[in-house]
Amino acid sequence: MVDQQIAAEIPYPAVPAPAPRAAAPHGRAGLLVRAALPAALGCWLFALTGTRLGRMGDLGLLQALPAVYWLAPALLTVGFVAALRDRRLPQYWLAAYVLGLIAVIHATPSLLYPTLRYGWAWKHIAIIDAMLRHNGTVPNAGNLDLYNQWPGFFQLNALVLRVTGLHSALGYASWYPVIANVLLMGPLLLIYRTFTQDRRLIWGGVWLYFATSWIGQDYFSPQAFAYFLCLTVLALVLRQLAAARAAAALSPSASASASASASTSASTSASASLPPSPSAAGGRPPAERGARALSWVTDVPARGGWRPAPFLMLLVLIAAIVCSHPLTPLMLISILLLLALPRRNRRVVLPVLALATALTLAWDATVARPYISSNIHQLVAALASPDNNALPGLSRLGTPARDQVLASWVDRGLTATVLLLAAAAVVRHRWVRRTPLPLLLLGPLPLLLSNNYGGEMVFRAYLFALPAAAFLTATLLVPTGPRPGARFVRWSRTGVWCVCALAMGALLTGLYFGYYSKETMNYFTPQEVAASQYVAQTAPPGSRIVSVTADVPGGELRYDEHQWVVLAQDPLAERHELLTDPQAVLLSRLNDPAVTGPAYLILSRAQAAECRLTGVFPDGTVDRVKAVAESSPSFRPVFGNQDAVVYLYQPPTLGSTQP
Amino acid sequence: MTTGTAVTSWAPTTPRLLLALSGWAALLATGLTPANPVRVLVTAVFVLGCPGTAAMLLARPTAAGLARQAGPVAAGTVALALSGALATVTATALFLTDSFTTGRALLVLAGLTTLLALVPRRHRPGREQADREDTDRVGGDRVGGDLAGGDLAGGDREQADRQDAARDSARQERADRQHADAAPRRRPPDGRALGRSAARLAGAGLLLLAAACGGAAGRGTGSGTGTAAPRSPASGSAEDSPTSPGGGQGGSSSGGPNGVAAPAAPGPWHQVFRDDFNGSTLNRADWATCFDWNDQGCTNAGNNEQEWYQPGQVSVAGGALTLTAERRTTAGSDGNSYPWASGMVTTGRDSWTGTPRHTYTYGYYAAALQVPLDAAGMFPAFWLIPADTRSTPPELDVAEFINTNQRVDMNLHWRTADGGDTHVGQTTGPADYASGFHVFAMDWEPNAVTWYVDGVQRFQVTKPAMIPNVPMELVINLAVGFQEQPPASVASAQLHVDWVGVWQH
Repeated sequence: MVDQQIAAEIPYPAVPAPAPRAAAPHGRAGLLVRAALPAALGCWLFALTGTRLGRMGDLGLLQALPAVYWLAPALLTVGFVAALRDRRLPQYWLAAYVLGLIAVIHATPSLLYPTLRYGWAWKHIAIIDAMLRHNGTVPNAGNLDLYNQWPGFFQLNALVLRVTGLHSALGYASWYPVIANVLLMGPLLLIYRTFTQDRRLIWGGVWLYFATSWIGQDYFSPQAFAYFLCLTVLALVLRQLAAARAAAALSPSASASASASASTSASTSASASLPPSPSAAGGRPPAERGARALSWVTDVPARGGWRPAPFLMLLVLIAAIVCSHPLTPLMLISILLLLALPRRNRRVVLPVLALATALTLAWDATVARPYISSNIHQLVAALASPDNNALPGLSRLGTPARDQVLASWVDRGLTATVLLLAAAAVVRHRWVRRTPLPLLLLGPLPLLLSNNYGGEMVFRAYLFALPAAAFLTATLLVPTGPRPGARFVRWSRTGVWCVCALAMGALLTGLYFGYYSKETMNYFTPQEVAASQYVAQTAPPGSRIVSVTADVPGGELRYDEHQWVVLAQDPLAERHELLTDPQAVLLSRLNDPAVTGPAYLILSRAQAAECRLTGVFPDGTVDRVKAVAESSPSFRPVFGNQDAVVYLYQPPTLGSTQP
Repeated sequence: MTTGTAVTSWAPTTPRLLLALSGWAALLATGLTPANPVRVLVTAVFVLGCPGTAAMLLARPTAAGLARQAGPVAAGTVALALSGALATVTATALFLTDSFTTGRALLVLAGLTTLLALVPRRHRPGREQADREDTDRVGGDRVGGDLAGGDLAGGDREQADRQDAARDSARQERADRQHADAAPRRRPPDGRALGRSAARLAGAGLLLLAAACGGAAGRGTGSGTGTAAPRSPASGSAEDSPTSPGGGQGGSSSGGPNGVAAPAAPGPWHQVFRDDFNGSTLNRADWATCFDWNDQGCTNAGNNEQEWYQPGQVSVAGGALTLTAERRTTAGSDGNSYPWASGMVTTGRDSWTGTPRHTYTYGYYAAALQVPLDAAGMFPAFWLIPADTRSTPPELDVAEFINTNQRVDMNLHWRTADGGDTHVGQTTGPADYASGFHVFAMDWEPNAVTWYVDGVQRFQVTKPAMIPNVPMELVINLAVGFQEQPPASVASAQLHVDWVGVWQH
């Protein structure tokens, strides 16, 4: 596929094969590009064999990976920048470097961990399992009834499992972060190619996207799926906008001159997609820079807007988003709303905006009505207090680990840096302001002010602004000037490229702090998984399961039959009580007359790690709860290993009826 | 690249033909054992790739244009996104309407893919000239288009009127070939209304979807996973949708003995026991009329029930078995006097030392029951008792109606480590189970026991430790006075059984 793409991108008859002599200065760079990627992958694979997961501490995988691992991202960055600089190198090298980066970042946990990473991914496995057992809507879902109302992603997986006959999604869920990120390359390329034909900016933007996407919403989840669909919708809309612009330029009055200019631009692009000249970067809109104008014209109906078939495609894509995830359609609407602001965009954007709004409203008024109607007050209240929504806020009873605080400052620094660089690019480049990029960057802003989404909204907003932000950052960091002539200029250009590599490396470092530093609690040992599987399989229907935090792999398994109580999710007053009188709190939650079945207490390594890292409870809370259980005769350990222990709480008597 | 040569008849290109066939291949592949690599490959590739690719062939901006402008990688990703979206929407619609089966879902997607892949389309001329010139000038574009999917390079397309299908498609083929040769010839313009053809396409799609939903039930894949409609050993009627309670299985006795047979659980199955009660007497080779402790009648003393079971309370007539409870003081052989005489049948033995008639370990057990109109004080049940120990637990209760005809209890009893009897169960209803025959069924597998009422799964136990693994006898009885006495005004009650069946793998 990559080869084919290059063939389409670089019209090869027009590109003269580099003469051996002329190629000489680029020989070293070419060699660097060809050597760095295999070297990086070699270092990476070698490092995986030397990783000790047991060494994970407050900085997670950052501590567990051997030093040689870090050569891999460094080599990848250097090699990628060299590949970016060398315009005669086939483009598949750029694609290969981006794939290498995705592998080194996202395939590392998939290869290292023997179990599925991240508690929320386990939760989604449990939901698919329950939907398969019930052939659809899950009864007695409790809090998880939410997923009955946005079931798209889960039912897609149920469909795949049914048709393939596979037993569980666990087999491929571990690889979902890799798959999700590789898939994103498609819409990102589509989006960036509507702004420019300059491959350095396009691939620089793609690289920067993956080097700064630290949010970690790419695990096995509805939002990762909906995000991919959402970017695809935006890509199609932006493409249609670009086509409409091109068509407008070719309107009958302008067609003569435009076709003339288009043919010139076509032939210029044929000579290996020339970069924009400095003057172009500063002033000319990108529409004048490519050969695409004419090839797009036929996409636009005479009256503007959309042809029916592509619009039906959008309908299917948006319908899948709407039934899969509550937030993503709102993000899409928010971004489309901003895109519809300029009058010239409206013929294309307004129909899509109307479609997205109608589908969202229809879904929320029917299938998702129970959730919407029971939460409408909170939603409205959140609308009224934008100041509370923008920033994440968590009430903590303990202090988070020092290293975690450091890591979270690095995250925030990275987020702020990327957004500031993007803003600077909008100020610096006039041509950027004529594209929809600034609107895309601000797209998530209305939603950021309207709802805090459990404190996560700022991160979700960053995620949705990132495609635009990464491209804008690329316009600042990646040199796009003409080929240097004099030796002096060449050396100064080399310096500029070095700065580019350093900046990209620095941003990538920030990503590692955000993405890898929480792995101590995102990783589950096989022993922990065995403990929660034991509970899921042995606890009869009607059982209650109690844990200190929600960081239990598969705590939700059989959630239609079991009731899971997480002490960290109690109101603040009760959480305080757990610190002062753990026994009383435990007994009150375990000995609940409303519970018909037996009650289990599950304590594990990851729960202790979450307390220490996030400070949701003070460090050592899990051990204190464990001590209470050990000292009480009502708690009988029924399953235990070095990482987890399960207690069966034995209530006085259990009545049973005999029909 | 193209195979169509005839001018008078329309023939699709090979890639489109393959695309059209992919869904049916996937449907066939579900006949393989679950998780078979070929099955996984064929079905996953189809579901996640083919419907979107077929849609892209039809929709202009993402076909050749997209491949040309953004590269086949990007075009391919859009095809994946579209396929994922189509599969999501299909699965969600089927699940939300409680009508999901593997066969049905694949049928919808396969039908849609075939429609999208084979629908005649043609170039829209006019502006295409500019497009073509641009293409020729830029040169490499054709490569991108060709590589993106065989005949994608045809450029601009839309659906055509059916009348013109043959002519248009022939034209299409010529155009494809011309384009592949980069020949700069044009077709004449056609100004037919786009909206009308789009409406026809949508109409055809809806029809196909409806046909798929209606006809898919009988096309079950028998895959062994999921709830694909199993092949029915006794009747192959496509109307017997196992998941539609309003179908042949529910409602009144109109279904008859042969209209109601398909196990709702995943098959394949073969029938090992069947009684439609079409004769005039009870087949004593299949049925005893008392528990294993039969001694000139019997009762279930453990429940303090008020009936003494007598063979005379069991009758077969009009195509059904009837158990009649009558308020008639009866002396039991145990020395007690019972205020009610009632009837029961079992596949067990005539006395404690006898040999049971039929015992089964695992399988699918179903019966069509119509429970008494006066429910208070009555306890009709369809259940399974271990044949060897002649006592419970373990015990599998397919259906119990304790003083109600509106709600059905489904229970599993197992022996705990300390020897006690524990049970889990589920009640479903309300529904009027006295108004006609309803099918109560249970799929007893080594790792799961699943209950169905009128073909709809209502309860499941999946903990192997709780699931019995011993041979069991079937029991259908009408007990009286458990937990509550019938009102004085009630002097009799009847439990009707239209048929009983047992299937095994």
